Amino acid sequence: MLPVIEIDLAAPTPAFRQIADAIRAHLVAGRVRAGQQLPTVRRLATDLGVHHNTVAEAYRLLAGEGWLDLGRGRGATVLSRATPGASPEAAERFERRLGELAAVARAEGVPAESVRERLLALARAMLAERRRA
Amino acid sequence: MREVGIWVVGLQGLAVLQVGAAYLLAPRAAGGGAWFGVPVAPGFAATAEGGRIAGGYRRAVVGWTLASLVALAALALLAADAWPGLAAAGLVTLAQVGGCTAAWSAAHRASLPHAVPTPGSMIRRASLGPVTGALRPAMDLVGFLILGAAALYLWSRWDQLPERFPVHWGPSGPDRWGTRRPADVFGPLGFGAGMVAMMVALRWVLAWQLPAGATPRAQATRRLGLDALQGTGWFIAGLTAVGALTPLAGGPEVVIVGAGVGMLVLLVASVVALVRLSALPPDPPGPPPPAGALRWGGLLYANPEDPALWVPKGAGLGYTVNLGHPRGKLTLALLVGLPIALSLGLAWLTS
Repeated sequence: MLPVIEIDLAAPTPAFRQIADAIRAHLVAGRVRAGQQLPTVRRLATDLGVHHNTVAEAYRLLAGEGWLDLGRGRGATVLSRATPGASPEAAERFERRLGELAAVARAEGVPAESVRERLLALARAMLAERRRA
Repeated sequence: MREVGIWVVGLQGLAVLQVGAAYLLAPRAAGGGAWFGVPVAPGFAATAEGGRIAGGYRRAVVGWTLASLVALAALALLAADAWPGLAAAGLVTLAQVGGCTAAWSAAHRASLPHAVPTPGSMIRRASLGPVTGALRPAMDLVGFLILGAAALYLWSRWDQLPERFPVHWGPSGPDRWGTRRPADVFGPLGFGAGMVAMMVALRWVLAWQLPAGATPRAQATRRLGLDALQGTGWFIAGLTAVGALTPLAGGPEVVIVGAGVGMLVLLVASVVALVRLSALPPDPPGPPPPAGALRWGGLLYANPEDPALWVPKGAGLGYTVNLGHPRGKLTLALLVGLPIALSLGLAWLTS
C-alpha cells in the first residue's frame, strides 16, 4: 500500500501544518523509513494543489524536528531518528493542542465515548510500537 | 479515385468505433464512487435506478455509433468521389462525439438526485512513494527514428525518385506535384518532425504539471494519458514517413492503408488500456466540488478559493483545469488551441 497523505484545503488548520502532521504520522508508524526519499517540494505541491512554499514550510518544520535532511538539489531524505524524551515545552505544546482538539470535538458534537476509544487506541498503538522498537 | 474516397470514409469509420468504445468504457474505467461525475452510495450501479441510467447511456452511445456508421456507409456509396462528401464524413464523427457527450450529461443529471453527501469540499491526496510511469526519454526518440529512417531510405534511393511526383490528391486524382529536390522530398518529414516534437513537448509539460496520483488507479490513468500522447506521436511519425515514401512506393492507397493499420493499433491499445484500468481496485469516493464551482453543465471547474491548477475530474477519471486559478484560462487555451493549431497547420500544408 502506498503511503498516502490527505489534506483538506477547506479546513481551518493551515495546509503546511496538515502536511507536516500527515507525514509525521507515517514517520512515527514506520511506514516511511530512514533513508527513503520523499517527493520533491515541487512534486508534492503539484499533487496536493498547494503553493511550493506551503510544502517547503512543512518540510522545514519536520527537518527542525530532526525527521528530514533537506539537502540542496537532493530533495528530502528521511533521517534515522531516536525519539527524544519529551521536553517540558513539548509536553506543554501537546497539552495545548489536545485541549484545542477536545474543544473542536465538543463544538462539533463528537461523543466523549468515541474520543476516549480513539485516544485509547492511539495510546495502545504507541505502546506496541515502543515494544517493537 | 472513388476508391480512395471510400477508404478515407472507412478510416472515419474506425475513428467512430474508437470514440464509441471510449465512451462505453469510460464509466467503468472511472470507478470509485463517481457515477457519471456524481458521488453515489456503493452498489448504486446494481440498483434498478442505476441500471436504468446506465442502460439509457449505453443505448444512446451505441445508437449514435451505429447511426454514424450507417451515415458513413451512405456517404461511401453516394458521395465518396467529391470533397463535400468527405467533409461530411468528418462532421459525422463530430456529431457522434456531441451525441455521446449529451448522453453523458443526461446520465449525470439523472444521477444528481442520488448523490450522497461526502465530507469536506477540497480534500487532496498525494502519495509519498516514487512517481510511477516516469517519462522514458528513449521512447520519445522512436518517432524521430522512424522519420530519420525514412529520410535515410529516400536519400539512399535518390536516383530512383521520379523527376516529378504527386504530393497531394483530390477526389479526382493528383492535384499538386513536386519535383526531385530536397524541399519537396524531405519537406513532409520535416513537418512530421515538428509535429512529433510538439507532441513530445506536450507530454513532458503535462508529466511535469499533472498530479502523480495517490492511488494505483489514479497513477494508471495518468500513465494512460501520457502513453496515449506518445502513441499519437508515433502514429504521426509513421504516417508522415509512409506519405514521404509514396514517390517510391505508390499512391495514396499506401498512406490510407498505413493510416488504417495505425488507427486499428491505437483502437485495440486504447480498449485494452481502458479494460485494464476498469479492473483496478476502485478509489475512495471523491468530495463533491463546492457549490458554484462547476460551469457548463459540470464540464468545467472554476473556483478561485482552490489553490490547485489541476483538480480531480468530477467523472473520476483524470484531472481538469481549475479556471479560477490565475493560470487556468491560459492553460485551457493552450490545451484546446494547440491541437486546433496543429490541425489548421496540417490543413494549410496539404491544401
